[in-house]
Amino acid sequence: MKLPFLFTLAILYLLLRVMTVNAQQPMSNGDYIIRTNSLNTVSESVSDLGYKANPTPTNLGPIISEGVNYKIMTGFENLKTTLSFSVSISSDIIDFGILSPTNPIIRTVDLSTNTQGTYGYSVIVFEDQPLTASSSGIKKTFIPDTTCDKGTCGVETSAVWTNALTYGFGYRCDDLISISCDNSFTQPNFYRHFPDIINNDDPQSIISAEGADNQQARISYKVNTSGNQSKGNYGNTVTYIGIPNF
Amino acid sequence: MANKLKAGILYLFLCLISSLCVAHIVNAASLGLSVNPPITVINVIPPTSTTSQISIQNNGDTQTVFQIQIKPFKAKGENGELEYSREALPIIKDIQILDAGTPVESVTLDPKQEKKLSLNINIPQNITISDYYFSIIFISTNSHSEESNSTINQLGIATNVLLSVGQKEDPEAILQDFSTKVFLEEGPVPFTVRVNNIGNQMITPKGEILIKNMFGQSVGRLSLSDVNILANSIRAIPSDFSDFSHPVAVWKEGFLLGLYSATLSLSLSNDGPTFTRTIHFFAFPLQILIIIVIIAIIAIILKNRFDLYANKDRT
Repeated sequence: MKLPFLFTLAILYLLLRVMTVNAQQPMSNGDYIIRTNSLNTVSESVSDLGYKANPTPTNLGPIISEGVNYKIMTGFENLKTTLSFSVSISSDIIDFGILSPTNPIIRTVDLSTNTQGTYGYSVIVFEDQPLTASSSGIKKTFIPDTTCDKGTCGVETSAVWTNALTYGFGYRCDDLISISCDNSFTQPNFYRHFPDIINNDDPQSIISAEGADNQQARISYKVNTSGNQSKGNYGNTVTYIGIPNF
Repeated sequence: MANKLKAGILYLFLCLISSLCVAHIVNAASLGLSVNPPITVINVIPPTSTTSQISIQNNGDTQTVFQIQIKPFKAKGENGELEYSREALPIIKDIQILDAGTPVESVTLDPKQEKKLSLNINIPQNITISDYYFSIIFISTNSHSEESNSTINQLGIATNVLLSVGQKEDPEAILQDFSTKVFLEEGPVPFTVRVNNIGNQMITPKGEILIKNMFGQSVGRLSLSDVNILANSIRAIPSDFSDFSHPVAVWKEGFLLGLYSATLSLSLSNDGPTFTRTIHFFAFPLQILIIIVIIAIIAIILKNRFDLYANKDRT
């Protein structure tokens, strides 16, 4: 007697779930379709004693200008054209101080992005040369780019680097605020080295992410020298470039 | 009086020395840059000349000189990322960045200063009809004295230009992939839409996916994002950009039951051609079914027990 009642309840539940209105989809029937993706109209403020509703006008892209022989569109479809694409780093110099053999030094710099006006973006990085001592009149010496503990990391692949007897210069990237550092950095103590322009390496992407507000990553530089490393002031230049997707 | 004069001179001397010392201390400063627009799409029929604006702002702490570079690029992967090519841009001599009408190769900006530059492209009659994709990159040229072991960080920012030269050709593309999982227990449903642009010009297809249930009723309509697909490249087209690494069109329906059909309509341009392809998928909420079966079994057991006790009471 109770079994049919239970099945009826189950069928009713299923039907109700099927009939649930999903507000995220466009509304439509045979006669009309309402899509709210690009609805971009502005009405006057509406107010009453208990409330005031202000319009929220948006400047959605692209902005189009046309001439006889040309057409120019700036900005992305359905994204605000007033939003700039921004990148910043917290410091323009990393000072390693005095290098002590077999005593690794780690320094960090924070990289922030503001990319709401794009569908996505990446940050590429490269170095002009390995850390090089540039004393005049003396043959140039350098600290080699790291290949990590097992000699397996490079410009694209990272590997563990914890051994104090593994020498070189490398970096890693950690997510701070909703950013997407390259997948090769998901494990701690995994490092790789910067692409070297002098060595004909291609710049490498360290961050690829969707366009969003206030994202931040921390880049850690690590340097470790052997006892045989010549004395001198070692230096190089690392360049980060923020690139919006097309 | 003489002592006061000596003390004054000594004080001034000390002030001078200390200010000189402070001037030689290397201070780290933050670097920041904004650019707008992030992308400019230009269609031209030669000969012509176009000018568009680029706004650049120094968000850093110090006055900085930014070098301007122009680099050609191609598509990297299928999600709109790019990679720079080593070849020089064939039309580099036809492109100029102007600051108040004067061609510049660098721009100096004070902290928080914004400057509007002009991107001027002169397209001669004899230019090769083709698409040209390039970035205009602004790179800081900060430097420090090499008095310690250090790495200098430079910061750059790019704005992309997609330039199509010549009359628009009929788009040529292949629908490389339109698929989803054949069987699902529940939503949301991810659709993979990949288009291979085999033409010589960039396209920006417009498309949607119409989903119908087994009774032929429309239960979902999914608008695809308008994305630029470069010539001779494949791009996956999402409905939004929430999953950056795997762009998919997502039908955000939670409960699914039965056989569904999904029809993709994709117009390569306002004048066509249009692709239409239909796929089917089946959904059945196994978990809910299992719960119902368990409840039914428990109900049967309880009913039998009650019947048993009722019979015992009677006897």
